[in-house]
Amino acid sequence: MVAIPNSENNPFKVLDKAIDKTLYEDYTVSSIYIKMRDGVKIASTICIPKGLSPEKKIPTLLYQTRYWRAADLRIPFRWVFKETLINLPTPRIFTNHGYAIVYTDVRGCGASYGTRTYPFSKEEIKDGADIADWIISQPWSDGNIVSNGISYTGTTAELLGVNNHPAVKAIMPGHGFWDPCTDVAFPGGCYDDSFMKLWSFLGKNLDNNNAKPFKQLMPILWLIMKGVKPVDNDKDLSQIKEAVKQHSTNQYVSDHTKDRDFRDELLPDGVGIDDFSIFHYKKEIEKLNIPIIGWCSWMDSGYVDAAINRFINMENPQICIIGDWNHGGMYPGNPLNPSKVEVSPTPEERITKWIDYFNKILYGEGIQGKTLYYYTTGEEKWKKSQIWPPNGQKRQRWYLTENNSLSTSRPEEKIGEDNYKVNFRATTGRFNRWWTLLGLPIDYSNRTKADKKLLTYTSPPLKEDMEITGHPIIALFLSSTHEDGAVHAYLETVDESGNVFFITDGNLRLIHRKISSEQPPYKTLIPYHSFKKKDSLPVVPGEIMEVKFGTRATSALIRKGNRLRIAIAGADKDTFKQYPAEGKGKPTITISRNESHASYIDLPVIPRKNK
Amino acid sequence: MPHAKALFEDSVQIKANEKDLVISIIVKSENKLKGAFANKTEVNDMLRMFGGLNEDIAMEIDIDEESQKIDLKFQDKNNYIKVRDILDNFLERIIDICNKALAGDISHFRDLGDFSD
Repeated sequence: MVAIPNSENNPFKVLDKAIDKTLYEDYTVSSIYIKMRDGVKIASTICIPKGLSPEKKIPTLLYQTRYWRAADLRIPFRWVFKETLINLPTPRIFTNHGYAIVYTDVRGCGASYGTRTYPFSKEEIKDGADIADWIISQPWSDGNIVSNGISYTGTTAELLGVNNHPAVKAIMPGHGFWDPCTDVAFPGGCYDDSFMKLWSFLGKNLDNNNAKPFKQLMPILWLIMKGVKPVDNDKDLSQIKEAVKQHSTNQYVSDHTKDRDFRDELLPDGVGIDDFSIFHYKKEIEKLNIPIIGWCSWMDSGYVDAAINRFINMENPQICIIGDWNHGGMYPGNPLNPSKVEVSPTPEERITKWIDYFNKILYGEGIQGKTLYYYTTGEEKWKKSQIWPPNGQKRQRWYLTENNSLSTSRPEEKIGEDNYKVNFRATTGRFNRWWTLLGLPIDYSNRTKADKKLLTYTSPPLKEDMEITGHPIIALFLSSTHEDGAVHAYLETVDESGNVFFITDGNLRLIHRKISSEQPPYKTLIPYHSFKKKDSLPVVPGEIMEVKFGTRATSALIRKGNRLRIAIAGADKDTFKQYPAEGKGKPTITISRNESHASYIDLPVIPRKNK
Repeated sequence: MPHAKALFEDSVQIKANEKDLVISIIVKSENKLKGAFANKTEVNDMLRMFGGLNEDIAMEIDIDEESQKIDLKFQDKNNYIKVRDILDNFLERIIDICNKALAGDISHFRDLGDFSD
């Protein structure tokens, strides 16, 4: 697949005022505590352009992280690098162009004091306002703040908007969630056991200022840094010790979610998982109409749907960018183009473009309306739309039919079904869309082999190119031999040589199959499953049920001659919790594909215009 | 970690004085790390972690924060030689670590077994 140059809709090329001059060559770093309204001290690292004249005022980028705002480097690295080394790419790109940066450890984390019972607590959100107050009182501040970040830090960037602080002029959530239940913890009602466990494990050690887990997981990083950076005046380390001591009562989400089944089961303090979702704070974030620049990628967990849900639900002026990279944008993430080895744009190019966007908001014409820029994989082309789904989208239905085929004709046979004994060894591996939440690359190159453990349905070769853009919807009429279970469905394409390429996937735990008639908490483009206890339906062994769910959104061009494939699994062992639980036997799933129970996938197709 | 090689070669100098059995590590940096230059434990850790030193070696460690200089002083010539040999390729090893970090430090996740606290 050959990359086609395309710039007219490329969000990294569209602004005409390219950054062309460097204002500063280096930056100074200092670390201090900022006192919050309740006395909790927040560790903060401040980067200021070196040589900034006393009368010069500049805007500030604010990053509030739970992953150490700055590193205590080992020698000899400390002799050469600044403590901001872990903030990639270098803060220098921003400071050189006249921005100050403030990195903070959120309360209960890093070198900050305080405790945390759950992520993104109300107190943590309020801290953003206190920090903003501190920033604009500094002699170098021009009173403007842009909140920025990726992943957890992206969500804190977005939640800064909740405070409606007048200094906050733009928020830029990169790879952040919208609905933490379905985007990350329980996609399709299936618990992402691996990520939740590993994330909590890492968080606990970070909060204890213990770099030791890196020795096993990221040994090179462990060689370079030994902990979180204490503040500058903490020469005897007494302050950081006291702060870390306060973290000993922190609580971690996996401890409270690993045995849960429903969205409405509460975490400590009577808080539910929805209480720290972005949709919960929609009205507050919309209040000041602050522009939002959201960015994500097709292959990042359920966060791609977060980006789309933010775009279609929030009234703020918005730019939304969905590209073909991994979580955080350090590696490419394009299973249809596995030969792409370099991420595009590079992190440096991306950040340089962010400065253009910030300057446009702070000093230019601002952002009007909403624009979603998206990259169509397989076509290797950027596109844009003011609405989502894009104009012209049509649904094309493909039925699961005999001989493991997909057909656009509805089956006419009275009888037709396929049995699949669930293989609990089936996996998408550890470089999938879920593990990339840890910053890992994306690798779905094993699908040809992986499909041998799955039940597959494959179409004839396509007669024309087909662009699939949006959320495919899967409807399966199935029965199971067991009272619990899950379906993981993969939309793939098979080339003329038989090589299988991943496009997107969806999954659903069978007890959550009820399509709720209630008003969803936000506008959604896929069948609405509430995942609440009251809506759970037991599986009656042997009884046919309709299991209908959306996959994660995608934009992919399938070339003429290639085939479509649906591959169905009952487990993804390296990621999701097993349903039914271990020791309760292996279910056999029977998928109906006949006149009265015609299972199908609806593909969102964008008609091609003689391309 | 851009320009790691140039940064280390420009900033860290290692001099061995066989006559006096002294090895000096001199850091040339514009910004002096006041109160955070190095301590003796860190110097020992550095030799073990990045030099592969796997035994206790009798040496005096003098740290001069003002001049950003560390002197390793030996009584025994064999000990001096051991540490000098370790420091011979020291910067190359450090630069290699930087390059590996830049390339991404992710391979261990693939073979990660079960994990716990």
